[in-house]
Amino acid sequence: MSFEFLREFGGRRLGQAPDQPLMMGADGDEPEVDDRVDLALECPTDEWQPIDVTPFQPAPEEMPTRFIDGCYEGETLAWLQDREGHPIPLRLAQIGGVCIRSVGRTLGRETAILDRVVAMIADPFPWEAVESFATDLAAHGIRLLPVSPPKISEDRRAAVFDFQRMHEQTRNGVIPAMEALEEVALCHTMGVPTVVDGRLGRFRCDFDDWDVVGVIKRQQENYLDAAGWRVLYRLQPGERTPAFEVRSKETPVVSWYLKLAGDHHSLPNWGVVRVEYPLTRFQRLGREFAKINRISHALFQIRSRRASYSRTPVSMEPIVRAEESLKSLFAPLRPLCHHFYRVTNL
Amino acid sequence: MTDVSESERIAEAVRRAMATAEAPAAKSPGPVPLRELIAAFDLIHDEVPGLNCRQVARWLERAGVPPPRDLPDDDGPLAGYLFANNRGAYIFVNKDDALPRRRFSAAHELGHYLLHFEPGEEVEFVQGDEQEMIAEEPEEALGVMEREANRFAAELLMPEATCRRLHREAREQHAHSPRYLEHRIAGELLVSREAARWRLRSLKLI
Repeated sequence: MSFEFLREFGGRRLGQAPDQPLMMGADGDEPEVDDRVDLALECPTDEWQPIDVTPFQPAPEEMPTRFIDGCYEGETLAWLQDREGHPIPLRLAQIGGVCIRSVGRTLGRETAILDRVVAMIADPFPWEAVESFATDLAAHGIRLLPVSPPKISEDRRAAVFDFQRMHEQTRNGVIPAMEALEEVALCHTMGVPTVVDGRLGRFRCDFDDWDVVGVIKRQQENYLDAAGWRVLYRLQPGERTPAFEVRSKETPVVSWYLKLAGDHHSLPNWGVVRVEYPLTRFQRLGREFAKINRISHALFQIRSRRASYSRTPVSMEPIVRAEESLKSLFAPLRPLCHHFYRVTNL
Repeated sequence: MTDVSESERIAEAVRRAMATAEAPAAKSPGPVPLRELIAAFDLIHDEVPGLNCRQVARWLERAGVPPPRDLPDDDGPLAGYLFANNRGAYIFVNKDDALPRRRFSAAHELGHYLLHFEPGEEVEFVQGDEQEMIAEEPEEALGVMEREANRFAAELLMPEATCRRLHREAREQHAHSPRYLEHRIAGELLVSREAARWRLRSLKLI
């Protein structure tokens, strides 16, 4: 009988539960562990002041015309247990990467690539059983995505009894697969000024001859010292902090904070994004800080102004459109879940 | 360096394995059915936590199998172990390793069995492989037997036809990214991304 794996390990359905916001990356999925920051790249930190970027008009050829986003919709639709009784969630996910391109005043989809997977922490099971499960899934056009178990110590990963932790690990473990699709979209056409939603260090691309800018909406690292934070909280829309250097293993970048929205009554960090630009590219262009001003102005010009979108204060309008465009290609998730239940007889 | 005869021997061993197990052609989706390949040669396979020679001796003792004559009482960690003689053959892999790694280790030991074990009276073949010997990426410093077993594992688990099909499909979708291909092959064939990367490079597909 096919899908013997699910029966052998007590597979059972899970009811629909509201999904929590995504964490960034699974434990140890290629983290940038060696971040080192040089805050004095543009000026000594005791001289930091907000910089108004609005007088710096970008040249037409500097305006970004490609916009990259990745999307991930998923549902944890079943769970099973390994021989020791650890709970193992099964998650059905649709992932994709998209590139939206502006031509004149029109935004159109340049490319989109989608994938569907069933993600599962596979290590606790005998490889033979997982192989059999993957084969059964493949026969129905579904791809198994094995996810690493959570870290339980510096150098060891293993299943744990905490369902929530296993669930988060499974959910976050899909992200690298989505990022691989984003990279496909990013590299579809190289050499054209491009804005990416998120960090550049996630991609294995050569940015030396290419204006690619990463815009990070959610701030998870603390790169600033006390003086830097004070400047950040003084930013007005259209202003940026001085640039600093973030050295990382994958892609060293020049980075700065840019305020897109907010007023006197907003939270102090309202509408602030962090921007990344490849350090090698910056150096090749002669460390021209006016370029950073022009990039910032370009981003400020294309900021989202929608009242209806919850992340508007930190969003680029073309990126919002990219996300909408990609999501429109996803199939409704519930019927996919029912298809899974049907073929697996769960 | 590998020579033509080594490549041919490995290719022949892979063909023999697939034919013996009557395994489906590489165009079938999903991972290579390694379980069926091992079973087709009447090999007994098990995953042992903290695999070492001492654990192997214990396992064999519990199963009532006389252990190899010169099995050392050693607790040095191993990734894989093969014990074969006229009465049977046993493959052990370290249960603590990640799943793609365990499959690669099992395929590596199957490679030793098909490439290096010559059955005969009183013949005992024992191969305990430490982590660094089972290399999912090329390691020229290894001895010939280890290198051959690694190549066998790579060619068995990542058939050339499958790799080329996935590469072609990626090109048709304009997905030229090596990283995407690595993810695709690792996911579809249940191998590590490192192993997939090496295989794609060896086939000059990235």
